[in-house]
Order: sequence, then structure tokens, then C-alpha cells
Amino acid sequence: MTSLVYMNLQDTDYARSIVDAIVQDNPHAEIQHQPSMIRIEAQGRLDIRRETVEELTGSVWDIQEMLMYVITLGGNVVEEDDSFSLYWNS
Amino acid sequence: MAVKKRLNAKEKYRCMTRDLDWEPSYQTHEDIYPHERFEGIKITDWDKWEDPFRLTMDTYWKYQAEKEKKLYAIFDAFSQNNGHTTLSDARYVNALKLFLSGVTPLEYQAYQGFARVGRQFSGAGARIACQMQAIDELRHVQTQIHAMSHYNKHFNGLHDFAHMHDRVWFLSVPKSFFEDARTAGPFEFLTAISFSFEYVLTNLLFVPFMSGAAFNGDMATVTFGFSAQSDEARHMTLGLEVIKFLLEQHEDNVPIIQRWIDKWFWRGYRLLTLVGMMMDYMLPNKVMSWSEAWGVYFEEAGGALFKDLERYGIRPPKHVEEANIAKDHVSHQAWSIFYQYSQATNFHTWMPTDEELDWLSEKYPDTFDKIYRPRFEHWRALQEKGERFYNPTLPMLCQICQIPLSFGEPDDQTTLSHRSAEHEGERYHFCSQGCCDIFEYEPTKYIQAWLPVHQILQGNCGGADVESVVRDYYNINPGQDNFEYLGSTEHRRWQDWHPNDRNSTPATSKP
Repeated sequence: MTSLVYMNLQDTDYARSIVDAIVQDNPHAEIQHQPSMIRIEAQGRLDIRRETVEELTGSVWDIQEMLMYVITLGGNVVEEDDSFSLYWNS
Repeated sequence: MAVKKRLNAKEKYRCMTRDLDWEPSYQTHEDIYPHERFEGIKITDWDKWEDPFRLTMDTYWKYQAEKEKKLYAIFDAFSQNNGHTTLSDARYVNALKLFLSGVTPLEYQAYQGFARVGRQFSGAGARIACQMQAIDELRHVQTQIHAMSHYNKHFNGLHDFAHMHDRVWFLSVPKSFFEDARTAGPFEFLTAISFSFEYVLTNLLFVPFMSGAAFNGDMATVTFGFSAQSDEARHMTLGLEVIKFLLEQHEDNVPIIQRWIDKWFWRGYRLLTLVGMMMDYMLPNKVMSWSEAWGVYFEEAGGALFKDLERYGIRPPKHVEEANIAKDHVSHQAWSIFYQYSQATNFHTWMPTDEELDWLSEKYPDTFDKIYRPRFEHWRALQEKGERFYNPTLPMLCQICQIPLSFGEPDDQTTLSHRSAEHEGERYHFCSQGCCDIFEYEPTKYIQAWLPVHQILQGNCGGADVESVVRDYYNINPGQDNFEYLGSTEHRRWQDWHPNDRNSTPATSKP
């Protein structure tokens, strides 16, 4: 079985759009609502795509803005201009 | 040829980090970076260092400024609206007292540590990442002090946290942990703090506890906590990258790193005992138990991590099974210590209410009713008779973690876990095999430990009795800042603020 990658985001208006984008791009992701934060878990890999977030919010988004909302994450990180990914090799 | 207007993130990162570095011409690398070799770590190519966030200084300042603006707007709103009066209960504030005197000074030590190692690495990528982290840590100290300065106006025990951090017996637990890391070489420091602590363990402090702060109405704390954590995502990633980088550089690094992981896992695990107690006993509205938090943030997350690191020849930390067994015990054992030594702390303690005892029984079905509930009910019965229990003796401290010897043996938690080792004719005592192993590898370091109880008995902390040490040496106001919560000035003040709120009184008895 592959391991879980995870990310907790603050439960804010903007971050909820990011969560919606994640759900759209990662159908295997599981979302948990906890006091003041949203936890997203996924088997093996999780991708956040700039375009999807921009479509949902209707505004320009720099992938590095992720850093404003992330509380914690687990997995190897790959950040590109258009995407942010978490994965495990095993 | 068309000139590209904007650099992409990778190009920008290269230009603004490595391209700003230069080859020294009139000094040798060895002279400029004298700490890089003595630990035995071999680096063949610093250029292999990858910073996945590719954060450059200009972007760093932009985002950090935005975080600060949001944070301070919330602090203002919290204090303008008397946020402290709408907490779940005043007992909660005692967790903040422990946080401010125990954790906030560690943020300052982290700043000092990263500023040092940020100077000592010859790789520019690593230097920049450490430099940013040093600034982050300084920001965390400041935001925490600002957040809690509001509480200091309305609650006791928060008046002299820096002084207390250097002197008070249980605060030597976090203090000595970080001093141990800072007095190690730069690579051990990163393995200790960036990897073992930030990646593997600090989630347990900053994630469920902060979520708990929100759940208890503490808008200021959850905000500084999550603002700090937004930096932490970067720190954690640095921690993982450091480890992978060191392991990929040379196979000789593997056993050195493994030993550091073993050591710092155990050190961090012991330190987190205090957080376990905060989660289970000091949050009136509970989010999850310590055992559940350990399951999610250590067993699951750490399990995935160590599985990923297997390819490098790294195995899970030594004594990890013991830590997993003890998740159902340590918070109760720690609260027992603090309950009976409440005369010597800068916060109050209390016995859980019936409802809280039932919650603990439910969350700890295999251990609580069998071992801890009867003890707590006994103490509560004493309290009801007007004989609230305080332990008049001074506890025996572990030479490594400096926590009083009070943990159980892994296979029998009703037997005290106690190890000892001899070094140059002196006998040293430990709470566990984990701490004993750490001592035996570097005894000359740990025989220098400043153990608060030894220092009191040697007469180095002022008076000859506990009360004068607490009052004069610690600067804790006896009868105001410490002892039982029920009937304390704080408890009475809270009742004055909420005359109609029966829930605000956990009272089962008089003090």
C-alpha cells in the first residue's frame, strides 16, 4: 500500500477555493474538517494546479501564495510555476 | 532573439541564490567554514542541494509582510473585543503560561541556532534557507510575546517568562533540549531541529494544540500558531531535503545520521510529554486526545516518512515502539507530576471534572480506568476533605531529558522506569533506556547538565526551602501564580466575569 501524503490548510475563504481545486484535480483525495483547519489526505500523491485555482477564484494566483495558507504537510515537495505536488517514493 | 521578460521560478531562484555566491580567492573554504568537517559528514557537491520552494528574498519579504499584517489585525481585534473573557474557561490560560515560558524562548534559541548554521555552510542554497528560517524564528518569538502580552494584563504567571525559562525546574526540560542541539555541530543541529523536531514532531505541538486553541475561543493563539505554521511548512521541507541531501552525498553519512535520528527522536519525544498533558488536561474543550494526535501525526505521518527513507538505509528511530506504547500513558503521568508539584510552577493545576474523567476513560480505554483514574479520584477525595495533595519532596531528575523520574517501564507502566550509568566514579540516573543510551554515547557532554534539583540542593538557587526558591529565585508569586486552580484569584476573577455561567466553574470541591 502506498503511503498517505497530507496537507492541512487554514479554514479561510481563499483556502476553501484551493481545497475545491484540489478536490477537482485529485478525486482520490479525502477532506476532513477540523476546528479552524481543513486536512487533505491522499494515497501516494497530491497535486495543486494553478489554473484550476484561478478558474475557481476568477483571479490570478501565484503558486507560492500556497505558503500563506499551509499549516503543515507530509511528503516530498515539488513546486513548479504551475503546480505544487506532494508525493512519496515508496 | 527575443528577450524573455520574466524569469521562471527556477531561473529566478538560481540567479538570486547561487549566482550571488562567489569563489573565495584569498582565503580557503576550510578557513571560511571551519565547522563543516568535524562531525564526519562528507559533502561532495553542494550544488546538489535542492530547495523545493525556491523562495527568493524578495518573495520572502512580500509574503512575510502580508502574514504579519493579517496577524496583527487579528491581535488588535482580539484585545479590543476583550477576547480573553470569551474563552471556554480560565483554566485554558494555564496552557498558555506553559507555552509562553516553555516554547517561546525555544523559538529564540531556534533563531540563534539557524543564524549560526546559516553562516557555517559553504553551500549557498543551504545558507539562504537557514537565513530565512532564522528570521522566521525571530518573528515567531515576537508574535508569541505580543499575543500573550494581552493575557498578561488579565492573568497571573506570565510576567517574567524569560527569567523563568532560565531558572524554573520544569523549564529546564525545553531549555536543555535546545541547548543540546545548539551546542552540537551544524549538521547535527539540522538533523535535530529541522528534521527530527520540525518534520517529525512539531506538528504535534502546533497543529492539534492550535486547533484546540481555536476550539477554546483563543483567536490570538490560533492565529499566531497557524501563522508560525505557514513558515513551518517550509521548515519541514527543509528538514526532509537536508536529510535526503546528506544521505545522497556519501554512504559514510548514513550511520552518523541514523545515530542522530535515534537520539533526537527520543529527545523530542520526551519533550513533547508536556504537550501531551496540555492536550489532554489543559484544553477544556477537547479536539483530540494525545494518543489520537500521536497516531495521526507520528505513527501515520512518521511511518510514511521512514518508509520513504528506507531506500537510503535509514530505519525508524530506536525505541520507537516504546514511544508508541507510551502514547496511552505519558499525558496522565505528566499531569500527575504537575498536579503534585503545583507549588513550584507558574501556572495552576486541577483535577479533571467528572465529565473530563469520562472523556479520558473513553479515549484511553486500556489504560485510564486501570491505572490513572483511581489515582485522580483519590486525589480529588483528598481535596474534598480539604487536604489537597502537594508533594513536599524534590523529585529525582533524568540527567538527559531533565523530567522527574516518573515514567513507567514499557511493558509495565506501574513499575518505575529507572536506569543508571557510571562515569568516572560518579553515578548518573535516567528515566529510560533511550535517555541512558544518549548519555553513554557522549557522557562528557551530559555530565555538565544543569539539573535544577541538584542546583537547589547545592544552594545555588537562593533559599533552603521550596517557597523561597520559588518566590525569590524563580520570581513566581506564591499563592497568586501557583497552587490549585479552584479557589485561586484567577478562578474567582473568572467567576466575577461570568456570574451566570455555571459551566465556567469546574468546581467539584473547595481548594
